[in-house]
Formats: sequence, C-alpha cells, structure tokens
Amino acid sequence: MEHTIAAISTPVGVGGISVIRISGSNAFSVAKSMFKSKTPFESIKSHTVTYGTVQDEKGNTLDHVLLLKMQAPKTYTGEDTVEIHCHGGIYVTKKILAMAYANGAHPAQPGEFTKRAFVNGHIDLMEAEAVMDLINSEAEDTYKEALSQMKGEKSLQIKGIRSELIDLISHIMVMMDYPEYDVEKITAKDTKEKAEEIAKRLRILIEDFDNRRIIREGLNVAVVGDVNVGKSTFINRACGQNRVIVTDIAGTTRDVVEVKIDIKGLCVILKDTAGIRSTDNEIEKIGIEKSKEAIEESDAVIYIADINRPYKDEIFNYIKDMNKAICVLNKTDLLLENERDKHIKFMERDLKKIFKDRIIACSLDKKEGINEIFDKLLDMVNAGSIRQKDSVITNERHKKHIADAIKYLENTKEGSFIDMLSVDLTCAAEELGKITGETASADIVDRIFEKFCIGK
Amino acid sequence: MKEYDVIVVGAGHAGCEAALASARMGLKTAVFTLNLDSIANMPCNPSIGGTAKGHLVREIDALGGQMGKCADATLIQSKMLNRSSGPAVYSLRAQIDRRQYQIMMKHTLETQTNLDIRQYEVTDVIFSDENKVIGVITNTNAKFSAKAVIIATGTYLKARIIIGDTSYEGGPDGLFPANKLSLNLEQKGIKLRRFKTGTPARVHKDSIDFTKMSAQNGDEPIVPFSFETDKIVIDQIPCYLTYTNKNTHDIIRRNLDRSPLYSGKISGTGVRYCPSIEDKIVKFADKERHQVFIEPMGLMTDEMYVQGMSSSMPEDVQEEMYKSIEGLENVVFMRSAYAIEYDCFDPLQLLHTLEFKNFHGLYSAGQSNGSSGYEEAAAQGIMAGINAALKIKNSHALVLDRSQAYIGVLIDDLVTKGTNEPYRMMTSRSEYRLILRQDNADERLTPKGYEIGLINQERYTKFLLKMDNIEKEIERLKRKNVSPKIANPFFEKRNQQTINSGITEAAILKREGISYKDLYEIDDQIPDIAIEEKEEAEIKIKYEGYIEKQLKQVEQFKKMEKILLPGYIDFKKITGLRNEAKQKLDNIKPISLGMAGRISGVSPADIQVLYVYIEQQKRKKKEIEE
Repeated sequence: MEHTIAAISTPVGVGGISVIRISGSNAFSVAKSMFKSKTPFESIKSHTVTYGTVQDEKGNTLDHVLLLKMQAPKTYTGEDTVEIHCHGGIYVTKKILAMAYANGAHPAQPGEFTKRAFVNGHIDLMEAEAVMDLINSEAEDTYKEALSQMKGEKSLQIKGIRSELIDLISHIMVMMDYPEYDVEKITAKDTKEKAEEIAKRLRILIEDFDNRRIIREGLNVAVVGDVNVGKSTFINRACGQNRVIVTDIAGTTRDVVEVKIDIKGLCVILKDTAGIRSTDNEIEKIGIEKSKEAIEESDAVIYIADINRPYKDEIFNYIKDMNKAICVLNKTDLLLENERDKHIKFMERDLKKIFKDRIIACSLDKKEGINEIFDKLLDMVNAGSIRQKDSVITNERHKKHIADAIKYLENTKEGSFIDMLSVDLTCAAEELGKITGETASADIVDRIFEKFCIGK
Repeated sequence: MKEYDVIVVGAGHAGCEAALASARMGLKTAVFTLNLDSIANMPCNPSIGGTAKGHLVREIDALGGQMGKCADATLIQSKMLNRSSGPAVYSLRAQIDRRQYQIMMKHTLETQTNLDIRQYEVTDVIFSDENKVIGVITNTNAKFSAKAVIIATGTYLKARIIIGDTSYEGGPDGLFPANKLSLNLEQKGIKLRRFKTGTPARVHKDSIDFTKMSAQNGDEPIVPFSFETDKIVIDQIPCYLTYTNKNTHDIIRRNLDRSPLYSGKISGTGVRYCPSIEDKIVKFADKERHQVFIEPMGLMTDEMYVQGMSSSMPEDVQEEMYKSIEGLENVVFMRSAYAIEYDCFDPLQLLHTLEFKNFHGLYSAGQSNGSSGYEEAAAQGIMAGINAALKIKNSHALVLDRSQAYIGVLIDDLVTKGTNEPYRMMTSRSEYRLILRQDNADERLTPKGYEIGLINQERYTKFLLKMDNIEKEIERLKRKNVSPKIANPFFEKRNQQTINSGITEAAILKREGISYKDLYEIDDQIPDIAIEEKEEAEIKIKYEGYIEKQLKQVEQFKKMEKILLPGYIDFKKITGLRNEAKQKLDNIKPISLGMAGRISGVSPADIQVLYVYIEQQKRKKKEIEE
C-alpha cells in the first residue's frame, strides 16, 4: 500500500477558495485528526459535504471549511480521498496543508494524484502516455521552481548544513572503515552534540522559512523600463491607491525595491528594477543583472516607457513570454494637446504587435492609469495566461524534509554506539538531499577519501 | 573432448570459491589455473578480513564457502576491530600464513569430489551461434566443453608490471600474464576496462629494528571466521607500527618526476582505496607522517610486508625512501614494490547472478569485474559458482539483495552503478548495516546455503538449535523481572538511575553502559549456552529499536525491488522518460524498479514514469487476454 499524500490542488492565492486534497489509505485518519464538525468523522457519509472547522495542533480554529469525504474506489485516485475547501488565503491554505503533513500525510510527488488514478484503473489506458509525459514535465517545473527559490542565501544555508552533516558522517565512517588509521577519534557523545548543533541550525532555518515565506508569496510582478520613465512613480501610485502589506521586504539584498500590495484580494509583489541598458559602469552592471533576475523570477512584467521618447526594445530580449507583459506609455501629460491622440496611435502601432491590447497610455504623475493597469493584470490572471508558481507547495515540501531531518538528528539521542548514530545521521542527510537533489551514500564515500588519508 | 558442467578460469580467491561451490552442488567442475603453485595466492597483504571485508568472509562461510575455514586454520594473529564503535561494525581481521593458506586451499580443491584441477592458460571461450557458452580452448590448443564458464582471472589479463621507468608484461608475484583471453573476448563484443593497482615491497625481517616500532598484538580469545570452527588456540605473532617522516616525504617529492603515475606512463585507473605513498604525499601535503605497518608473511618465512608503502617508484628511490623510516634504516629488500595494470570487464554487462547479459553461461567473478580485495573476490566467486550450478540444474537463481548481505551490496553496486576504480567493500556502502552484522551472518544466510545444498544437514541442525537458544534467551530476559531491591544497588554501583518498581532484565540490558556479563550479578539463572548465543541475544535486545527501524526501511526497499521490469521492455521507446534516463536504462537493463532507481542519472520522476508504463503494459496484456 502506498503512503497517503496531500497537496493544494487549486492555484494558490487566486480565487476565493482553495482546495487541499488528501489521498491514500490514511486519508480519513489524517483528516479526522484536524477536522471538527457536529457529525463525528466516522459517521460522515461518503461523497457528502460537511461543514466544520480545521484546528491547528493547539486546538485553535484555523478556518471554517467544507469537507468532502469520498470513500474508495469511487474517487479520482481510486483511493480514500478527502478534499478540504477553505478560504483562499495563502496563510490558511498552507497551514492546513502543513497540518495534513503533521498528521501523517506526505507531500505529493509531481503528477502523483494522476499517477495513482491511472494505476488504480481510473484513467483510461489510452491516457497512460499523457500521464507519463505529465510526470516529468511537472517534475521539471517543480525542480525549476525549487531552483529559483533555492537561489541565494537559503540554499547556501541548507547546502552548508548538509555538507557539515556529511563531514560528520564521513568522520564516523572513516573511523569505522579504517579503525587503525590515525584519524582523530570521535565519540558517541561528540556525535550527539554535533547532531544537536546541526538540528538547532535547522530549527532556526525552519522558523525563518515560515516567517519569510509569508512575505515572499504572492504574484511577482517586475516593473521594468529605461531610467526616468516613471517606474518609481508607478510603484508609489500603486501603493497610494491600494492596501500596502509590506514595503521594503526584509532579507532582500538585491538593488530592487519591493512592495507587496493587495489588489482586489490578489496579493501582488511589485519589484522596481534598475533600467536595463548597455553600460560599462560596474555598479550599474550589477543592477542590471539583478533586473534580469527579477524578470526571470517574475510571474508578470509591467514595461514602462516614456511616450515622449523613442523606446528601447533591448529589454524585450529578457522577457521570455511577452503574453505576460503589460506596456505602459507614461507621461502623456507632456504631449501637446493637439498632437496627443495622433502621437499615441503612432507609438502604439509597433508595440501592438508585441503587447496586443495590453497597452495603456496615461500619465502616472496625474494619477491616471493605475486601475487600468491592474485590471489588465487581473484579466490575465483570470484568463489563466499568467499563473502563479506553486511556490507554496514546494516550500511546504522543503519544510517537511527539513523537519524530518531534524527528527532523525533528534533520534541520535537514543543511540549508544556510533554505528547506530551513523544510520540516523545518514537518514537526515538523505532528507536534506531531497531538497538539494543530492544522494548521501556516494557523497560520504567521496568525502572520506577527500578528507582523510587512508588505505594501505 | 572432455566434458564439464562448469569450467572455472583461474584459481585465486574467486576461482576457488566458485569451483568448490559448483562441485559441492554436484556438478562436474574443472578449475584451470596458470600455475598450480599459485592457487589462492595473496600477492598483496598477508591478511584476510577487516572492516566490511570481515563481514564478507562470514557471509561466505554462512553460505557454505571455504575462505573462513582456511583462514581460521592458518591465521597467525587475529583482531576484532571496532569493538568500541558498536556491534554492527565489529570486524574480524586475521594475519595469515600465506603459504599455509595456499597449501590448505589447494588441498581442499584436490580432495573435493566432482572437481578437477589442471594447470592451463585458457586463451578463448567458445560460443554457439546464439552466444551460448560451449567450452574453452587452452594455450596447448586443448578444447573442453562446458555448460558454463566462470572467468576469475584476477589481475592477470594482459597484466603489465610497472616499477619506476621499467615496465614489462607480467602478472603478480613474478607469474605469467594471460595475454590472449581478454583480446579474444573483446573481439566477441565484451567491453573491457583497464585498471591499476599496486603493492609495497617485501623486506627481510632480520634487517628491521623492531625496537624502534610499536608492537601490534592480536586479541584473546580468538574469534573464528567460520561458524563451524570451535576454538582457535595459537601463539599469536605481532605486527609492528612505524611512521614515515619529513625526510621520507622529501625523498618522494624530489623524485616525483620519476614516478610513472605522474609522468603519465600508467594509464589505468588507480584506486583511492590503496593509494601509493606518492599519492598520499601529493594529495595530503600537510600530513606530517603516515602510518607504516610491518606484517609477517608467515611462520616459515622471514619476508615481511610493509603496509602503507605501496609505490611504483624506481627501485633506487623505493629503497631510499624505505630506509628513511624509523626502524627500516638498514632494510634489505626481497621483492620490490610495483604497480600492475590489467584488463577487466565493465561489470555493467553482468546480471546480478554475475552471468553476462549477452553471453549465456558466461560468468565473471572477482577482480576481473573491477573489484579489489581477496574477500570481495571470494564473495563473487561463491555467488557465480552457485548461480552457474543452479542454472544448469534449472533451479531459481540465488540473488542476495542489499538488505540481506554485504555480498548483495557488493554485487548490486557493481552491476547497477559500475565502477571507475577497483571497488572496495566498505561499511559505509551498506545502508542496512545494523541488520547486516557479522554476528548474524548465519541467521541471514545459512538457511539459503542449506536450501541450495552447500550446508549439510548436521550443520543446519546445529544452526537451528543455536537460533532456538538465542530466541529463548531473549524471551527469558524480556520476561524476567528484577525488583528495585536487587536492581538499585546494581544501578547505584554504575551511577545509573534507580527505579521505584520492577524492571525486566531486557530493559536493564538496554541501558547504555550495561552489558550482558553484568547481569550475572543480579541473575543466577543465566542458562548455559554458547558465548555467541549470549552475545547475539544481547545485541538483539540492545539494538531492538534500531533493528525495527531498519526493518521498516527494508520493507520500503523491498516494495520497489518486487516491481519487476520484464526483459522485453524497450526503454528507448517509453514516452515521458528523459533522454539521459533512456540511455542509462537501456545500457544497464535493470530488473526491478528498485534497481532502476539506484542508477545514477535516473530521477524519481523517471521511476514514476516507469511505474505507470509497467501498469499500462499489465493492463494491455489483461485486455488482450479478456
């Protein structure tokens, strides 16, 4: 029997409702341990909807939800399945998923629901190939996503911690594999202390994960354009007209100004980037690299140009999917009244080929255009042409692996000999490796011969 | 033309086990060797066992092999390594009287029914049109027919000896190389690789000043390798420890340009596990000294093995650097250190039975598969012998998996991951090491040895009795309650936490720092069973939690091993697999989903795709049948 899996099965942060799906032989017990309703869970009939609340580990109510209990085999996957429909907020949705993990569910692998549906005979034979294609393409997305998230500080931290763990394991292993060589001895007590030290760092990391994640999640929108076209003005106006959640997001070291605002319930992170242009100035070069990175990581791009000046199209090279870009032609107030319409038409003619109907001519200084820009953005979200990356799921998966690694490290407290400890430590390293994509066993052997001079 | 069921090519450690297993399983077997006087030779260190390797020897013995018995009979020193690191990694290692070992192994072959021994160089293997083994041809042009041929040629295939700037065709210990076999097999489509290894000098005992070294003594009492050996009582011979120094390192650095390793003369892939002293100095430049162990080659010889000083430097440099070591100032060389290059097979061409995937009835075992070490060779030898015999008898193959034996880890690593350097068994390679202990090798493997006919009824009955004794003792310890009145003084004496209500003896034993023998203080009913049986009960109780955890991991592992990939699958045609995975899978042709998952370059997503594919095939088949 395969283990029980859980995932958020709706796009996160969009729409009023999110659905968390749990599937597998323990789906009911996982759901039962977090769900409270008038009807006891066992008495809920299959394929019915029940109103209730989801509680966190302390018994606090997280959200009022609708729960759909479906008994195998008549479910999508063919296994016992529970769907929890909650209010679409990112925090709540994530927290419910985390509760499912805490109660024994595992993060679903790419394409796993569909795979199970197929394996249990719920998907037609003809569709098997589509399923097989789906798995690797979803895995690729997840992997890319993980990579983009793992860039920078946090990834270095996890890699660093894992590397220290591998050091510790290889030290133990070299003692066990080469007991007579003069390598410094490490005792079970030393090992346990070191394991606790590593666990402590992972615990800090996981808290940090939680804090920072709340801030960083949302629709990433890069605001790009040449210098002095009005990018900052746009951001200021956007903040002025919408609820600002956070300004100057902590933990960013890049020269990109970020603000997080609430636009009709959609969480949007605006990133003001440096202008992109060829330059020899070192400092400016770095700024440009950061801008490219911001575009790369973004879900949508707002391109701003000064309607009074010829626009530069160099930047279009960096925007991979122009369907996710909106063009703002700013400073219409500086145009002569009698030439205005003609000039706008002229400017739009070429840009239309690229941006289609997503061009807005306005004067940001005069507080025009902001609503239109965001309406276009929402249209694109609703039409599905831009979709937020499922960073929440990836994040939760990382968190789960880190939590499991901590558990293994804590297990070492029970072991009395270093051979026992080595097994727990290796399991911990395997968990961290699932985040960084590395396997422990080969690394340990390599490290032994890298660090120690041994062999007859 | 003389007919055999099984012909074994080579009578080293792999060849001997292979030949004995096959003959003992009732098949007409022959073993051909270049030189009858080199049967079971140890051209490198005169010792058997060691970390992970000791496990292999015990496992070979538990299956009904020979290595452990010969080692027990000819050892001159024995140690149980890793006593302080925990029972999972206890490892037996013995210094062996090398000549005596050879004599005993040769005599074992000679007295074995169903087994012929003949001095021949096998130059070619003959195949039918369907790539099925028919027989072999020797250097004298004699032909022998066989249903299976096991290649166990060690480092002899196109072997080349390198000592500094001289090099010549030659096998280990001044023996002839086998120059034709690998070429002929390559022409038939077998992929060869070129590996390199080396050995230090042998020096005269009388030229060593042992007073400047520290003696390394054996353990008492001696724990035998073989589960059938009762007791070993001998006067143990010490080894000695000394160190290299700055002077030694300077000599080596000064002469690096004369080392064929650095001048590019040696092209074979070297071993990280047995680095030459030059390698150590270059790679670990900061290390001020390296250990050098002096090991006796036997009782009736004054040759001493200088462990740690393997080298391919010219002879004059070798002598200069050896003489710079404390205690070796006046050392007299008897054999020079040398490096050896040889042909071996890419083990990815093999099945888990060690039979070639594309050549039916052709097996390979030992260093010819890219492994290193006597024990690794013997382990493959016995498995190749068993499987060749089972196949001829039309019985199911015997494949040990990673959760059953170090032998399983060794063979699975070789045939699934391949190797780029001579492969050494290591504790760290075994993920289920807490259940693959040397003490329980018989529990894991003796029933299998009995089933295939390598363990006789008498030994099996004894084994069952032992298992029964252990089981009963564990039950007794778990039942036996000790009152606080008796237990607390016992605990106080040991600075352990005292108790308020009764405690079982098992729970006492589980505490850190308490061992089985301590229980005599509080228990006058300890049964009169063998020491090994008590030890086994102790380990099983102390490790209980960990053993359970590992068994759960094994359960997960087995699930994936049980999902088989039928041989007809064309991996290249499976949609959804990444290209890298397609190539790797097509090359290695894994037999199970579990094995596929261990191939580097095959991702978890690829495994999911394969899973769906298998399911699709099953359903297609079912639909057709309906």
